[in-house]
Amino acid sequence: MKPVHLILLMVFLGIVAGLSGVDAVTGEEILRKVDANVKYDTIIYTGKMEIFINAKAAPRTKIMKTYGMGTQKAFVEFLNPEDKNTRYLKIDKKMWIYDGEEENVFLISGHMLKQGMMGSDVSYEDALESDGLYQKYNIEITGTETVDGRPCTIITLTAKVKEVSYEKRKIWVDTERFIGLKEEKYAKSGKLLKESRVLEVRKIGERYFPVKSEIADKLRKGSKTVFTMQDVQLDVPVSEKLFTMQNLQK
Amino acid sequence: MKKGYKRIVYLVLGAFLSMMAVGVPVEAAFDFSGSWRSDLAARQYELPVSEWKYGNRNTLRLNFKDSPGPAIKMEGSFDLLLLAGDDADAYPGQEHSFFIQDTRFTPVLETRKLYLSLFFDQCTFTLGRQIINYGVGYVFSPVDCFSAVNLQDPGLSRKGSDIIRVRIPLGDLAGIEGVTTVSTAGTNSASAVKVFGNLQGFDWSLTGIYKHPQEETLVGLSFKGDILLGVYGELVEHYGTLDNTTFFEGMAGVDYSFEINTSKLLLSAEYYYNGNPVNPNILTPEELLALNRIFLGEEYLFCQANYVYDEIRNFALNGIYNLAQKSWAGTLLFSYNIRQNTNLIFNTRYYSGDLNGRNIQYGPKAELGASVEVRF
Repeated sequence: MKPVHLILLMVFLGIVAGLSGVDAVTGEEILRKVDANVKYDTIIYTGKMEIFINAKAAPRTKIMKTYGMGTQKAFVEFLNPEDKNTRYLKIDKKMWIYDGEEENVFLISGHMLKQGMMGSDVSYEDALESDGLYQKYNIEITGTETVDGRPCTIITLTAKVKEVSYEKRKIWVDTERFIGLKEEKYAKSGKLLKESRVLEVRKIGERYFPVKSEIADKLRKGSKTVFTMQDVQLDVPVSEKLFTMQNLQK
Repeated sequence: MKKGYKRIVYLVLGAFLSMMAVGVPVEAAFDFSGSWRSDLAARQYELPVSEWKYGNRNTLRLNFKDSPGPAIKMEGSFDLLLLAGDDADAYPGQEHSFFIQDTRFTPVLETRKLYLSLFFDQCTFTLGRQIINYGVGYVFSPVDCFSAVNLQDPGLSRKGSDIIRVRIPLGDLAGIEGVTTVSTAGTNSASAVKVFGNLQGFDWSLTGIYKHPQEETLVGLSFKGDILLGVYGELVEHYGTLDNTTFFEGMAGVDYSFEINTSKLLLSAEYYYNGNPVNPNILTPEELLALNRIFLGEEYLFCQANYVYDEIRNFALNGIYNLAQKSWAGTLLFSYNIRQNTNLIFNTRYYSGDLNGRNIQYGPKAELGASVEVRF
């Protein structure tokens, strides 16, 4: 539930400190514990996005340096040769792209927000999602299940307002480490739209952090995006000036 | 190399070397990137006689960027071109041309960008050749007097201008900037001040421009945002001092996208109105150049449909229509990403009449093209 730079964190709802023992009894309380672990003031990391378009084609790889501040601001710069000097600036629910080749900045139109970012399975809308889950969804525990050998509580979110990207979401929360290990997102028709899984978790400081994840747009047959975060730094000094139009065009 | 441009190169290099000389630590490695592209084209001409001609354009693009300190950036982008056949014949400068059998070859060095930027807390200062995008229009941009779109490029890229630019931030998303062209010997020199920001979810800018040779002042407003569709526009009023005339110029654009099964369809359209259409027959080549405008007619329409089948296959169809002269140009383009860094591009274009009003009688009627592009 973090900004653009947290492409996967948003999808997986994130992370965990070493909280053990499940005192939480409601779905909302479990999610709030997950959220509490994801919370940070700043984040810096290098991301690697491998986009598998279909079963035959080799994956297309994007490398990006990402800076984030809270849930509202993010700055992403792509480093792979094909997208070099392409940058994203996210402030609240608006996103701007800088095309370094043509030295042009443009605001992403609202209708474009449903499209996959840089051809990935993560939409701009996913990336722009921030707080407000608790206001937008009814949250309840709907079962337990084992995911990758870890016991999980299944939390089901059902939309209570119209302004949501997904009508229903199911999250498998590892209730020992409080990490969302798996998530499914559904349309109003009940069709599964997106599925995500955490592939690797690391302990950073006192937190458990998902550093490798897989996101699949179920409408795109055979397509998935594997996102890996390297050199993750949490709560380190990050200048406010990074998140400005001036820096976007720097 | 033009005299005015040489001066810019020396200024930028001189300033950069001065920075190094005063002790700013310089990292040894520049950040290099680039691409190689080869375009093959077959073009049909009808005048003076109907015939097909063949051309080839090889472009090696080399980009570099270096920030020896947090307050300095130097960036450059150069195109090394080797034109052959029809592409070489159509190129205006042919002093370095040579022939192999009966085919003309022309080597060209084009500097797209070469500039130095200095970043201070209060402002950013830039000197050199830079691509200036002042407007919001994709094809039509009356507020953008610095960089006209290159219609010969199916990607509709823009060329750089030799400028001095100062940008002062007034907030995260707002600022004021001043730009002036350096080359006073040039014929398209202009100075501009722009105030920009984001209000009610829309990007806005208010621009004042003074065109030196024409002694003309422009006041422009541009915007981009969402009202169900993506909407954007530019409104410009011209005030001429020499002939004491005023006229309006404007463009409006919309875009929208749909998901079709697993694919995407992106649609966009732009309308352009020019309140002072120019008859190119009464102007000298120098005066035409000074206008620094591609579209001289009264009304134009641009439409584009882009069908993204997946991240590998992409179809685009676009057309520009000159409403007054009933002339148009259409392009159909298919690109195939065969590897991470390699694209194959096929295009076909058709020209009907004198699209841009420049009265070019002998341009191609149709074109078939194939390109390969490798990025590194």
